[in-house]
Amino acid sequence: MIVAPTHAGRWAPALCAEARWALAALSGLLNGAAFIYFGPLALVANVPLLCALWGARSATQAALLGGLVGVLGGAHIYGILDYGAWILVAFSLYTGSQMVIYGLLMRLLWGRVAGPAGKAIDVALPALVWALTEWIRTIGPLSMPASYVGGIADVGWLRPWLALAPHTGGLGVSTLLALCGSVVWHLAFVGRSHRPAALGAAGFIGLVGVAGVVAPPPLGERTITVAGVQGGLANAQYRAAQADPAAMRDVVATYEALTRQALAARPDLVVWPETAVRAPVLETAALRARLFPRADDTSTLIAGLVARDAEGRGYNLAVAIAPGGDEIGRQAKVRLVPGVEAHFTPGPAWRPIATPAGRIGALICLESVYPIGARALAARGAELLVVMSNDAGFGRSPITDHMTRRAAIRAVETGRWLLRVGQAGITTLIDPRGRAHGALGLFEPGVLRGEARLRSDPTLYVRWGDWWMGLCGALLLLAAALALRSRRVSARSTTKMNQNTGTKIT
Amino acid sequence: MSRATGRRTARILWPLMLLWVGAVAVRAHSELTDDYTVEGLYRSYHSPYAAPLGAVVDPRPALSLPAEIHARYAPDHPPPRGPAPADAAGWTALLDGLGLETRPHTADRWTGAPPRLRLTADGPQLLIGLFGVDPVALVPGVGVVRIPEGALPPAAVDLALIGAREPPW
Repeated sequence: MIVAPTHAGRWAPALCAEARWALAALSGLLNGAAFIYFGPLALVANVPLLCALWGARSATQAALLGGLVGVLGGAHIYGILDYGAWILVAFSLYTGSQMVIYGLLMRLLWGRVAGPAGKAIDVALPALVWALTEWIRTIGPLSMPASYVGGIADVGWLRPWLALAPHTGGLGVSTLLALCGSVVWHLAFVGRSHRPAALGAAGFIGLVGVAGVVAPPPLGERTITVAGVQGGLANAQYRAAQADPAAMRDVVATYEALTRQALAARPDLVVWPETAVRAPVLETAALRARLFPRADDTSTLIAGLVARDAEGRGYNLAVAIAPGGDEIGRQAKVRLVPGVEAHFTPGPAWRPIATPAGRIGALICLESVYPIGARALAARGAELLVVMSNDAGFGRSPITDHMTRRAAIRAVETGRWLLRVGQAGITTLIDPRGRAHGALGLFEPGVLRGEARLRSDPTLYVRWGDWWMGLCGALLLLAAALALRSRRVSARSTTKMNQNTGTKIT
Repeated sequence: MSRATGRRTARILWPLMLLWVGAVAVRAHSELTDDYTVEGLYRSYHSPYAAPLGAVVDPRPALSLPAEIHARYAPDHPPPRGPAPADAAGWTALLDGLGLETRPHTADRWTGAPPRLRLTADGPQLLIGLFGVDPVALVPGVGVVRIPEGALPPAAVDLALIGAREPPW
């Protein structure tokens, strides 16, 4: 039996399978393009998918349509190919599996409830289910950058909506972006029945934007000066350095020269990228003397280094070095890249490092993709975030841009200034409103200087965490309960009608 | 939308989407595999490539063996002048001039030290160490080459540079 939605739109009844598959594929490509090329496409990327799912013949068809969107969207993260083709395949299948859930939930809940509440649920449902899929992407073992909010952090005209992130996390902004697609679809393809609900949702989106303009996130209190050191070297140079001591001398000399250049301006904080110098710096006095701040310097250095403990376990570290060269704290990378960093031992937890410049929360590379690390650091008192990254493996693909935008979301969510320092790039200073203050491009050696402000009060998101997902989940459960009730009522009335007319049901 | 319109729409969309996929694939291939040059603080770095001898991990078309031997193992001596030697006697004289003692390398196994100067049919090469089990060679005009274990070309002269050491960083 085909269970048609209670208010089938103009498209649904006659849409052939060929058109559904084409529309789902189009959505997959639009989502992929939104992830890495042009973030504002997120506003409409799912509109073709909604056309395809509306009145889908079966749950299987809806699941497969959703899965196609996820696989095609995920495949656009091709920049990770350098780390192994299997990672791209696994990631694409992973996003595909989340969109299978999207297709199934939409098939089960969309258009199932009559009345004004049902219309509101219909309009909200694509956004709520999208929020669920994005949230799943942040908790799985293969979770990788692919979120709507990550695509729009550098889009000026959408920035007012980023002001929602300190309250809801980036997920709330993604939900709004997905809601835009739903509003467009319902206004364009569904009859008048859904217009009030769609216009109400559009008004809500507009109000959030106005609130973002009127009350942008605060920028913080005490000002400090910071500098990011970007070697600008490709991974190939580090591989050569493993084979040839002369290439290693080039790496060391590059960081020595750039660090001295940064220290000369006497900033409060100097930050290296992830694993900037892959030599035993901490164990070698000559290297420490060349690379670390001297007694007459005024800066604290956060150095990206690799080190082993007494048991021989390797760690990917952010090490804080005070003027004079003494270590005053360290943070080991907690969230390692699956497979690629199997030779490292994960750190126990994210904790800020107390320095004369303030309490610094260090995130290393992939950790900035997930909200959990930045939130933990801010909750434990971090006043400034630094992201130390090595994105050289992404080559010149747009993934590094996307990683940088994801880091910007961490700044907005936690209300902290964030200095992102990339080994090959991109190095940039981002304020709690998501604005970049200068940048060094890919494969460009140099020092980025800037002024950041410290902030210690927690945002609502830092205090409450994934409450927005909890709210979306509760609304999804409510929609499911109402859909179930509607189905029972509908079944009872059909039975009653059949009894009255004496129809025999087979 | 009628079924016919749906089919027409699909038949327009599929070729357009295939074009998009093709464009993304071409762009991805270019972004991830094209040759590039990174302008470092001290020199330009070129992208690695595979050569018949092995993997050229650090292409350096201007690499000169006399200059490398001087910079790595005898920086306190005056740099050698003139073109690279053409024969074994010339190389021996150059190494003597840099104060580097040599002896023929005869052992079957090599642990990566001391470095070895080999004169092969394709020209001289300097083995500077091992990467894993693969010898790493400096080849004039090519750069730093990782040669697969057991694939070293035969050499008419194979000299071990006794006592030659270079700092690791």
